[in-house]
Amino acid sequence: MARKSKAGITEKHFIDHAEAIVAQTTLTAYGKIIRNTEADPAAAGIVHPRGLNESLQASLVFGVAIGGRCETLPAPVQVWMPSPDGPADGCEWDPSEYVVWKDLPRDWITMHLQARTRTLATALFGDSLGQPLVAMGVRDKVIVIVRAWAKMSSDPSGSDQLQVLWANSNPAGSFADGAQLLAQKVNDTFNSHFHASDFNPPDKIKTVDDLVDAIP
Amino acid sequence: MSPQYLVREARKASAIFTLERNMPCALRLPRFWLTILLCVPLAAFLVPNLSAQGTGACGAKDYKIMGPSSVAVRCPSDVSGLAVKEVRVYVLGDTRITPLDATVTVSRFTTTKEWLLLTLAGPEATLKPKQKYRVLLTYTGTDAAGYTKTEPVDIDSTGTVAITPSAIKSQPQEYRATSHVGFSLGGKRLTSARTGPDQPCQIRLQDDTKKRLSVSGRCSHLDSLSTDNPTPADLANVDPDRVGLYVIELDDVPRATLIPSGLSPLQDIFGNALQIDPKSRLSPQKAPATKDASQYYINFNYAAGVGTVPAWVLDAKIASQSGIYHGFAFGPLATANVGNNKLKGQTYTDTIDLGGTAQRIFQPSATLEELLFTPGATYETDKAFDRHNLLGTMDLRYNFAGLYHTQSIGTLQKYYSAAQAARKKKQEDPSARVIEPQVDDIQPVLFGYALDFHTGLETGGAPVDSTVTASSGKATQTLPTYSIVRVVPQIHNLLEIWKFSLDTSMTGRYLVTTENTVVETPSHALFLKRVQGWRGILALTGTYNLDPQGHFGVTIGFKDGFAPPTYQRVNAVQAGLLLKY
Repeated sequence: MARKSKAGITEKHFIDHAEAIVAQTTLTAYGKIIRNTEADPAAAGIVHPRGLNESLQASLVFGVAIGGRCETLPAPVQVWMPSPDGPADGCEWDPSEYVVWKDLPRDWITMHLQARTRTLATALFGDSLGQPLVAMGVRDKVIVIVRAWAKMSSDPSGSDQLQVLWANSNPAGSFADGAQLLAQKVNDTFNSHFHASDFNPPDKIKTVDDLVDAIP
Repeated sequence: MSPQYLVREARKASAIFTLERNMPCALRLPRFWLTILLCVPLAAFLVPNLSAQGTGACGAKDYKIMGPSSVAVRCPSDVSGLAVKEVRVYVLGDTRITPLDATVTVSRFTTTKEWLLLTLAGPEATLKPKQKYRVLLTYTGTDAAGYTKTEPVDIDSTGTVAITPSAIKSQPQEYRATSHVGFSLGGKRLTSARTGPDQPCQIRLQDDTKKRLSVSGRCSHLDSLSTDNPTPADLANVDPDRVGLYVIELDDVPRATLIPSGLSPLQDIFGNALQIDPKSRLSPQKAPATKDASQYYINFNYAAGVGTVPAWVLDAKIASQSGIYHGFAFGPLATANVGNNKLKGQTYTDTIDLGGTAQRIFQPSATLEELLFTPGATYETDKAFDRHNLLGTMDLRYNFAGLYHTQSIGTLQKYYSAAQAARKKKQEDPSARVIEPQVDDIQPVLFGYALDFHTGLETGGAPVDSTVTASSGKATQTLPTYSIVRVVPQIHNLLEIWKFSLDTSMTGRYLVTTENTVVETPSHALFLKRVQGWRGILALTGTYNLDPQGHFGVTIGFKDGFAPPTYQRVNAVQAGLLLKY
């Protein structure tokens, strides 16, 4: 069927039907490969996503591109993945640090590995026998907040300075903006009453440890 | 035999000697002089080894006594991967160190990744109050060499409570009572403090006259465990960062220094009354040391002399910010650009803005990383307060990715890279002498820039007629009411090269409705003028910093254009000295 040629519409504005289906049924993942963790998918009762006779590797996925959107996962997820398609080439992931797995079927069944610390009783018998899981402690909550706020790929150290972490996140605004965003996030989490001026200019609350110790 | 093997073995030997060092020599050798003879050279050999062990995978930073047989130790990083091989506990006496006949098991908390829980069992598993202990943690490192390391953690079960002002500057009425020994509520059950003090409380105090009194406030809600003898599983669900903590929020900021005398009904987990550190004080906060650190700062100087016109200088700053509500930070607005004399052609805009703003930052996308929304209300006038414009304002500031990279950001990034490299080196070789850099050690980067865009709207009007008086003479002119609708785009740019910086601000105002203003001629006659359409103003400020920290500088400012409410032409260059502390 001949396409109607309208002003400004070029060939680049079209995609094939097959490409459209792939875009709606797959996702692209970004992450890192965990060393020496090759596993035979058949032994775990799963199949290679591309039907290949290749092993899978435990990998840490940090973010995905799905439906045209780039999303960073709240915490890295460990799953078995096929060989990557190469260094990351999208969603602003650093190609020197991250790899990309392209167009993985969304409904592909893989192995999801969760590492968490629990009491032995809770791990063996579940929450019903042990104490109910208590919410994350103040320190770990602060670490999660700061990590997201400073767009870090790993947890900040307690001695890290907040202003330095903000600068290292390639911010679009000054630390004054960062201080307000941080105060907002901390207040939302702890129902506290921090002001931006409690962080900027840096005075008594300079580091991640200072912030943990200041939570009322 | 590989060098790595030798290094590993040497470290093992060092760890063993570290353990042995803490065993009392007198216990092992019956003869005193023989003890001296053997221990002195041994100590001399061990000192360098011990000092080399100051770095590593745990590097215990804090501890909390959670119960008579439980101690939590904080390492400054995630301890999930830390393989603790052995823990020994010693009693530190005045003259001797005695091993405790107890086995120690190590477990983790479900609430935090940085704390280890040590549980004692055996004949001497119960810690005594007011006693000093030394815990020796032996663990295996996770690096390629797989070194073994022993680290001492000194513990004091005295449980002195220190009461200190909170680090939150905006909460001067908040104090924190902290101790290494857990608190209980009148028994031996461990408590932990919930976040947000919300329980009414009275703090017993002494003033200078030793008269007993108390102040009221709100204190932490303490959650108690359900048993006096918690299992490690019970303790694993407690947040150790909230143990031995009691946050006090006084109803009023104390006007005089007060001495707290007790925190009734709190006790320590040994069932003893809390011992308050005699240095603890509830005192009014000191004034900020610098103008930058102040929220309100007013410095008025007046000078007069024979044959000269009196001069005044008002240096004022109001930068207070109230709390953040629904993401909005509220604050007063007070800006002025006025002077006490006029040059021909006018050197200042003669604008005073008083009001308030709220601001909220949104992070819409990876490209438009920040969107600062600032609604506000402004009373706009001039130095003579003979204009009265009431305005509702709205400003949107757009910060795009990659357009903010000032020298400060570049220098901090450089510092972060250097600090990370030093930490990595220390991790790879814990015995290496690595000095982590400080921010001041980093040479500032040469180049910096920032670019942001604004769109704004100002609506309102001059609600009453006002009378404008000439700056000299008796001429007056009535300024009739008018309405105001202005569209205000703005581009702001900062360029930094070495010690030079150039700040440029281009503000356009499109006056949708006709505004009235009174213009004063050089002969001090007044006439009414109607203004409509585009009115813009350009402000350039060049600064040369004389010192690397930017405390001293020379500035040159250039302004050209029209600013409300007078819309008189400004076209002037001003130079001055800048002093920032």
